[in-house]
Amino acid sequence: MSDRARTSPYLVLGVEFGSSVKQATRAFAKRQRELAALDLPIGAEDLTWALSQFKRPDLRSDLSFLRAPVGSSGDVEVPEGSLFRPGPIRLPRTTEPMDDNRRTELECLRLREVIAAFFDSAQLTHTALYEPSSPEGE
Amino acid sequence: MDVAGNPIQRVRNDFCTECGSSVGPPIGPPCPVCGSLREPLCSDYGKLVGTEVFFRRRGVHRRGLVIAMADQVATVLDDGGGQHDVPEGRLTLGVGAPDGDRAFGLFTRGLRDTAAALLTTPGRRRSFAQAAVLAGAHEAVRFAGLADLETGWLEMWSHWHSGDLDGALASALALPPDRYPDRVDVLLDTCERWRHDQRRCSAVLSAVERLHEEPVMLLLRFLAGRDRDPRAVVGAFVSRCSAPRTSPFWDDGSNATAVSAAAAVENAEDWEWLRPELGESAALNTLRLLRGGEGQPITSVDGVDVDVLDEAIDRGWLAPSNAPPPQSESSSSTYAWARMDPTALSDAALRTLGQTDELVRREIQRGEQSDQGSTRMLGLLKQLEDGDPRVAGELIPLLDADVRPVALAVARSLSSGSVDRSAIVDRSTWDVMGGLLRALDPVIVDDPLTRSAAAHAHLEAAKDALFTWRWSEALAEARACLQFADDEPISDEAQSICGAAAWMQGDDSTAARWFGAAAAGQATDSLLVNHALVTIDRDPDVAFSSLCRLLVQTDDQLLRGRAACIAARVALGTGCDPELLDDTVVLALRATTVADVPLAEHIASLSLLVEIDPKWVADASNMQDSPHAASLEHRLAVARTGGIAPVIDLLVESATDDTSNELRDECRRASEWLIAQMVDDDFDPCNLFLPLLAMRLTNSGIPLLPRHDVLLTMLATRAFAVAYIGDEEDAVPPELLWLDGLDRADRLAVLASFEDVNSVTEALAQTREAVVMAFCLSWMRHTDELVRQSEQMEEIYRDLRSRLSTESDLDELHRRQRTSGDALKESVTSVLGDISEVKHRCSRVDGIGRADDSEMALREVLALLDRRLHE
Repeated sequence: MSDRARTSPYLVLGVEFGSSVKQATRAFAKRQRELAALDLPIGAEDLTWALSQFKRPDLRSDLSFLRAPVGSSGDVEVPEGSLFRPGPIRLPRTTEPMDDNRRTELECLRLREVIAAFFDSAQLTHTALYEPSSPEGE
Repeated sequence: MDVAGNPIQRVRNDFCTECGSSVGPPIGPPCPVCGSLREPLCSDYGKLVGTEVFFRRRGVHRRGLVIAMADQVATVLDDGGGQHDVPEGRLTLGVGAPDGDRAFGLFTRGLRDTAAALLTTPGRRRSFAQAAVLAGAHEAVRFAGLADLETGWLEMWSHWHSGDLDGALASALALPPDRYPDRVDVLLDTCERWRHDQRRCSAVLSAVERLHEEPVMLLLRFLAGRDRDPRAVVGAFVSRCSAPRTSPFWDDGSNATAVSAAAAVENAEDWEWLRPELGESAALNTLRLLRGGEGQPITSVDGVDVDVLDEAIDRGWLAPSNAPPPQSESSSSTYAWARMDPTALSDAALRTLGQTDELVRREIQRGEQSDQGSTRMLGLLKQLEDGDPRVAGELIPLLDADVRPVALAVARSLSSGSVDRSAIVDRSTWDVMGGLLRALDPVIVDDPLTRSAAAHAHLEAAKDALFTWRWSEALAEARACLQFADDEPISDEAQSICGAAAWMQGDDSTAARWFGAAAAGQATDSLLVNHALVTIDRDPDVAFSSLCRLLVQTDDQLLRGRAACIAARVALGTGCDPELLDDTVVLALRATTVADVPLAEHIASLSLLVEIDPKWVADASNMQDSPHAASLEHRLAVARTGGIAPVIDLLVESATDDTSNELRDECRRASEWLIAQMVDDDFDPCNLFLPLLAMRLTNSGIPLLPRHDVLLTMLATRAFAVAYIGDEEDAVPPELLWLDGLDRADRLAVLASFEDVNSVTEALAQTREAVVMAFCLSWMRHTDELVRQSEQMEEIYRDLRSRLSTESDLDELHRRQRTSGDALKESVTSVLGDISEVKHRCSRVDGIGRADDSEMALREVLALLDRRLHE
């Protein structure tokens, strides 16, 4: 590989400036497979060199490598919910639509539970409140 | 038991028939509760009323029905219509106990008229009517002869006791709204039993609404399915419904809970004593959801029925804005959030639900390998994205409604081969439509959106070509992008790709022009870096300018520091006066030295500042906050602003057994500098400053390169010897250390890889001769001085001896003479020792023989001293 090509690990691996180590590693593997097909004037040791650059924590601050892209285009903003960038996929409904009878049944059942809980929470019983001196007592 | 299966309760007879309140033992009207003037029920209630009995009258066994009791005498109506008054003791009971069934079946139409005539008092009529109620004999109630309202009230209970809910309800609803409040019990019980019958409940509701009794209405409305906060309903019912306080037919406590609750609540000032968890119950949250989520917010979805959750979510009653936060331990919560907003859930939570689609979508978003075929929708979407429009028919129904038109437009475009504008409104389609967009003619297309999309397509193609090293194609696509690009960022990117392609093809000047054009207006950090990189060799001024722009705009301190270093070196390399260097660069270098950057960057900036701005570096306060202020490298760099002496001081001070590489490197640099200075033609041999530094360095313990050690030692020692021989002002007397250094240098000379070892050896020998000469001169001076001291001492003591007469004085004199003599002897011995040492170590050095005269003179002094001391 020429010295000129050595000015950019991004071009060697075919990966954008700012890519992560993970992305670079994937690009490394892909490039290895492509070497023969694309007939690139780079070898395995060049790829290894390029990948080693991505493992440097200060690569983004290195001025000795040509960068591509330069970030001017601001990358097209594709919001979630677009056709090819679907938003969160919600779980579909798993029950049948509720009819009025079911609704009434549930309401009555739950109301009964609420009322029972109400009285239970009040901890009131006939014997608890009725005292011998009470005029209403038996 | 009555026909409905309910136990027959003992009828109470001490209540007000108007309001139902218990009045204790009857004391007559008015009622202490409602003020009614109605006659209370007769206290002397006959428990046998309505009972079938047998009795004997005039020797005949007869059967009859007790229709009244008074003073333990029963009025019995026989089945023939005859009336008899029989003492209670003479009655035999028929089927059923006194508190059990009432045999009103014997009551025939004919007997009804007779019985009615016999019930002559209100007490008897009520007593009879109540008995009929308990038996469920509705008609009998009617024929007790009571007032219509009271009859109706009693009929209501009669129907209820017999299980005839329709009849009970009809009677209850027929009563006036402001009377007989215990009919609420009947109404409630009716709805309770009809809870599955929507039609009947609605009918009751409609009828009850006319009664305008709020608690009942509220509760029934709730049961019938209207909006109301259940807690308020129940509370209102309990607090305001006075009917359940007492009821003439309930004394077993079955309604006592409601009674007690009503009593207690009416006495409570507020509701605080009610446990708050009433509000947390799954039942209450379910009711709130069924009511559209109104009222208090839903506190939890735990335990809520799944179909209720589904209904509430689909109707918008439960949404992320009002739903309780997701709880990983609650399957209901996880389910609800998976339906509303799965982004609130972790991958692990989604796996518990088997939510594969969302998991795959996330993997695609993260750029991970994913099995898109595992989900139908995503798999088809991928096929469309790969350019196959045939899947649209199957895909579109699976998509959200808002993206379906886009999918259709994309499929249409791919099928027809022309760009449908409604497809590119969604920017996620631009890559898919790339081929079609790149085929557009820039001259014809004037729609801004289409032009943007086309520019993007060409740009992406240019990038792809660049990264696959197809420089010409990258150039062509980037140029095509420029024909569509209407805004600067896209143009800059395209021009940058043109520049990169030209650069990689070796066309530096073209590359510089492209980058220059791109950087002309706004420019990103990367663009400026590229521009500087390609121009730094052929056009340093342009590179310098781009670097200065980078220094001003970048937020990356490390990048700024590096750019500043390069800019400074570029400027200095082109002959710029350091003092005239652009302030932007100087300020950036300064900022780097106090920033948190790696040590190497810090030293790089600092080293340049030592050269460019030494005054600023020398001021310790400027970099006191630097994270590297305490490092040796930083201190050495700062020391350099003060010249070589502070550097050597620092080196000597920092020398340890485990000397660092930085220290050794600095020593090497200092050594080279010192040597260069001391061999320079302009070096003043009388100035011992540098030789002193050199000697300090060689004696510091820092392992120097052998070559440096040899040369420094030789040059420094020679300078010292020459200065002493020349009697210079700052000259120091020779020391054995000089010989130690020369001996070491002799040993190292062989190892130092000098090109001409012999010359070095000869130079060392010459130095040794100079040292010997210095020693001899020093001994001569010492010898003269010691001889003089000896003679002087002799004369003094001789004079003193002549003056002293007493023995004690003489003894004292001798003692002092001995002390002085010993001291002088010691000095002489020391010098003789040095002479002996040097003669031994330098026996072959020319000039060592000059030491003999001194040696001999000193030995004579020594002998003389010995003689005098022994006399």
